[in-house]
Amino acid sequence: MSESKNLLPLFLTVAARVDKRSFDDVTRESVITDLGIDSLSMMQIVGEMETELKIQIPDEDLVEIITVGDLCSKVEHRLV
Amino acid sequence: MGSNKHEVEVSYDVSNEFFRLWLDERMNYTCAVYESAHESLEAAQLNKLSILSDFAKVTADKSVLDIGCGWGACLEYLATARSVKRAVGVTLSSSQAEEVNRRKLPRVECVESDFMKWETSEKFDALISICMMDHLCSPEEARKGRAIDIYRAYFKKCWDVTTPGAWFGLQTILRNKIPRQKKDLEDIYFCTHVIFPGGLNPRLEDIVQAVNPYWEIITVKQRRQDYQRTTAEWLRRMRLHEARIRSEWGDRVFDDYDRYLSTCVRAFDQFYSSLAQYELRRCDA
Repeated sequence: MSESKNLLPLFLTVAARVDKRSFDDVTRESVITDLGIDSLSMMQIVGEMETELKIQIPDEDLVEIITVGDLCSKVEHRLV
Repeated sequence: MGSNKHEVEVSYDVSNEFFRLWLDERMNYTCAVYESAHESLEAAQLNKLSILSDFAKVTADKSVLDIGCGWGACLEYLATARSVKRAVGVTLSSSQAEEVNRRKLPRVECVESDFMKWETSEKFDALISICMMDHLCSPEEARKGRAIDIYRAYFKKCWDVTTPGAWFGLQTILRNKIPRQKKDLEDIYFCTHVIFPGGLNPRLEDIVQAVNPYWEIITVKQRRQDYQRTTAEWLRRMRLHEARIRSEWGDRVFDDYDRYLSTCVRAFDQFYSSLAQYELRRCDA
């Protein structure tokens, strides 16, 4: 991962916009479903991050995403 | 596993008369194949049946099994246009089975059964199955990683009911790209859970993986745009009968099917869904 591209703030901004609430104490180890983010919101978050960063994440990558860090890693991989 | 009898009847037993209002005259409820810009739905549905029959190497001396036979459009085509020796259809829907048997098509029999539980000693020379696979695996089963095993069991059952040297004309709707927009996600969830409960469209890679070791893929044809055009025509025809549908079957039926068909048109346009036809040869080695 490029340390200069910390995607956690972007995730938090987009998640707050999609779910219309703020998220506190979130780390890369946080499990996405534990944050109350359902699969519908998750796909919207992915879509907004794709649009923001002008990338596309293949659907098969999304199956493996459990934590916030998993999602950030998938996004980072596409930025390389 | 997949859609049970009750769930299949939710999808297909609204009323035969309801579906007759907006499907083609033979009541094909699957993707047609358009060969020109101005071709009718009726002609395009015959193209589809011809392609799949050719994939299955159907000739007059053969017995053919149609798995998920719907209201019998393919069985009728096999018996009349191809004059096959015998054509057997299997459907889990009571309305569909009654409709097929009511027509007393020559050399045609329709069995009301779950294909995966159907017990027969008969072996067929050719198979056709049109968009039945989306009833085999539920979303819950797919999430547990069981999709490939379920689809492979289906292909094994297909192998078990055929003679050596058999060919298989298969058509499947496919799920392709997961939407990222809320409305699209909600509409596709609605179609999956309200219109076709218990079912899930397979992915192309699922099929490619699951046919082994029973069938060899010879040809795959992608028909995404054909299905967009087919569903758009179904929607156009259904809306012509809005008043009658609302009067006879209620606002809920019209609104649900309007939403479902509108979603289909958009899903094929946006690559969320697709459709493929496969020419499969039985592996006998």
